[in-house]
Amino acid sequence: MTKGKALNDEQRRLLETLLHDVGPRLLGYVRRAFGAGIEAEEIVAETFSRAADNIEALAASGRQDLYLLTTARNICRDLFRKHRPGLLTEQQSRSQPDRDGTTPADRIESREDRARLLAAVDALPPAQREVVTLRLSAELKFEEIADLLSIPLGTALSRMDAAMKNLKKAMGSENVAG
Amino acid sequence: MSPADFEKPNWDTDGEFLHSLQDALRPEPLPDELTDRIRADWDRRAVPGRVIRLRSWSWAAAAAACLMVLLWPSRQFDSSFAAVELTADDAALIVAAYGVLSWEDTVDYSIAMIDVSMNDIDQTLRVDGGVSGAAYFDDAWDLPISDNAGETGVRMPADAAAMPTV
Repeated sequence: MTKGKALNDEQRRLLETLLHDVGPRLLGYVRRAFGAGIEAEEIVAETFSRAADNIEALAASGRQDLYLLTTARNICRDLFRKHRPGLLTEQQSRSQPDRDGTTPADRIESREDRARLLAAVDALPPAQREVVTLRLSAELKFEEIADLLSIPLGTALSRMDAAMKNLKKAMGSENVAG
Repeated sequence: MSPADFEKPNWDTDGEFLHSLQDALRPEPLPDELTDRIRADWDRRAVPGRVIRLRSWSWAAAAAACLMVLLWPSRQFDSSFAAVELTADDAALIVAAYGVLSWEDTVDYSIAMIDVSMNDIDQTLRVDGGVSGAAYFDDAWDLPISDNAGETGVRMPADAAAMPTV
């Protein structure tokens, strides 16, 4: 990292607050939305470095958490464009069709189930996975998700709906298969 | 389906599934190593305090002023440091340098420096006066230091006629 823009005490306090309040959400979002192929911690560090570079704009932002999430998302997208083109495009869901009538919630109890659920999230189409993680890891409202992704609210909602259906299918089918 | 449907924990008939998903995706605290790295980046950007900036600037100004005094072309040097004659410009520069030093809370130190210099002057006068005699004092006769003879130990002649000849 370069030396970058100088920070005064007030700006430093703002960044500390954001690191504490938004940092975990940011890491959760990047780690889950962009998968294991990306160094999530590097992205978070770079995000906060850029935040420091643009501290005036960040401080003036009405929603500093959205500012940071947008920055992180842009960094990830730039990386994917440069090194892994096409990864952010829609993919075919890898979920298997549900083959029994059991309720997935019945099965998500153990640690192994949690790991399987996370694996199922990772297997979601990127667009659905991003909405899920923005909602549940970054804890944004759907209006905010729509704004951040520059998509209509209805699209954000339908992606969430489709993601939930895919996840249930995946968990149900894995249980049968396992 | 409206946003409100999704915001509610039981938006789905299978609300427990959503809860499980929420638990699985709940953010965890940042690793200490990561927060340390981020803070180290911020530390490198810290704006120096006002005192430090003043000190750095004022020391540079003081050094420049002293250098100008030493190199000033109008200076007249005698055989000893004590016989240096200062012009009005020299004096103004010294006062300015002293003011800069005082400005950054180094008054005590700068005064100490001046004390040392005065002792050097006293010592030089005493030694030179004893060794070189009247030839020296003839040239330096109008130095105001003679008024302090009793305090500094500098023995100045009462008048020119009383001075020994060399």
